[in-house]
Amino acid sequence: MEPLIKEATVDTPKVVLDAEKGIFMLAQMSLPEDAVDFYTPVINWITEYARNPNEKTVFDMKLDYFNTASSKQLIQILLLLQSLKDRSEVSINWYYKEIDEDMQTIGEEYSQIIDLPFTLIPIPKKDK
Amino acid sequence: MNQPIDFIYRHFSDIEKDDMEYIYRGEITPVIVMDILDFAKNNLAKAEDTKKLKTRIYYIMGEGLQNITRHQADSSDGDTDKEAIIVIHKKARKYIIATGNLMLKSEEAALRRKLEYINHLDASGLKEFSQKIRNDTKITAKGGASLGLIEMAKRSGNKLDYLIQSVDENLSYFYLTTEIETSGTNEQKSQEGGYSIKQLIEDHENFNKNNYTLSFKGDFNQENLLSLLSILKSGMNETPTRIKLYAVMVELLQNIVKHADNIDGTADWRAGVFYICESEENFALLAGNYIRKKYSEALAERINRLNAMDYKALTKEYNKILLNSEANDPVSTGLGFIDIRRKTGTQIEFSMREVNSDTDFFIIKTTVNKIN
Repeated sequence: MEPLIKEATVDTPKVVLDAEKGIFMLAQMSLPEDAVDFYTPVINWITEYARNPNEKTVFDMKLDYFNTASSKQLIQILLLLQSLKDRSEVSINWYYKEIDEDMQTIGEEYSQIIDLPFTLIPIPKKDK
Repeated sequence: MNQPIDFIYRHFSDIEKDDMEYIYRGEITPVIVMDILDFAKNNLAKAEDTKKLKTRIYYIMGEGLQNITRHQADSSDGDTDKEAIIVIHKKARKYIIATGNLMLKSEEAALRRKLEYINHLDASGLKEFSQKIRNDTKITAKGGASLGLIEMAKRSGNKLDYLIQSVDENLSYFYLTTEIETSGTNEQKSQEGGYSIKQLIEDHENFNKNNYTLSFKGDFNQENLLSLLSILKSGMNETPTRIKLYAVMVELLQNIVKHADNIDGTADWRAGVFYICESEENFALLAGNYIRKKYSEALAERINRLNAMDYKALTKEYNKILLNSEANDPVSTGLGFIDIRRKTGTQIEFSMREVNSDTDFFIIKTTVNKIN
């Protein structure tokens, strides 16, 4: 399966979906003008991957920020990952900046909504 | 709501397509200057004027802003009233760049002399003077000699309008406006509003009185939204407060980008107004736009309903909408407002004012308490 890779922009995240290498990641900022438009290829890719997933799927959520429009799409992604758990050992690594209590809270809440193992990983503040 | 809606509306109501006004008050650093220039560039890119004119405007803005970073005096007493102010104003065919900054009283006489000299020169005189200064190797310690001011006068084609007000025994406040000559007949131009020193001082007083640090009035689109956010990022270190402020600002601004109505029914731009106020305890964000009357009541009801909910009820509502795959537009479902309520823990204030039989002007205000 062809990997889906998108470089980050100021308002859209870095996307790495590479089944062969076993890398599944969203990172940086997500506040696109049209969230549905941006995430449609991502969701399509995961839907395709779900047909024949790897034995293990570790999804790295490394977003620094996402807006509410993106949150609707992220939940769709998490629900899709949940749906393939009988075929793959799926887990979510939820990264958040140590000082970002809102991102930590969202991670905790999503881990309650989504029936998958979540690991919440704080990123320490960088020293300047 | 402390800020009277009538006041905000008065400053907003004359807005037309391609008009804009951006005001920043605060510490002016080279990074902030770059952000403001980027912001101006985004707006200029869309205007219909010629490339030559755009370059000229961009150049004058750069000179004006750098003039502040080079020459501003440091009050170092933490009094925000003494901070610099920058205004970029575009109305119809008039572009105005206006600045205000603190200066040493001891330098006042020399600056006045310089400005008077520049203002009495005609185009060829300015050209000569500019060359003379360029060839002179004696540049002042602060850099630039008076070249910045000469270039502003030369390229704008207009006199530099200024006013110097005494602050205390050592300091003065220097206001400067530069109007940039554009195409159009003199008759057309005289009918169009400008931006005078008087208005600049009024705006400055208003910013000081209400603790505004930034305002933007104009077309709300994703590019402007990103520029406003980037100014926030450059102006503040990354703290829990800034993270919250950023998130709330995105939701408020995208709400205008996606849903603001225009008074004339056009849909190719979104007129809106946005303010950031800062006090010792909190930040307040104000956003205003037109809304069709038929939606006003439902919006007011929705905000009132969310204001009445506690954190637990808000979370329940949030998750319900999140998991409802039918409700794909988070703005119309109110997800943004719920997010704001949850993140700030404060009420969303709002106010409406009738504009005509089918349009209201609507402003909302959210408060982000500072986290220590």
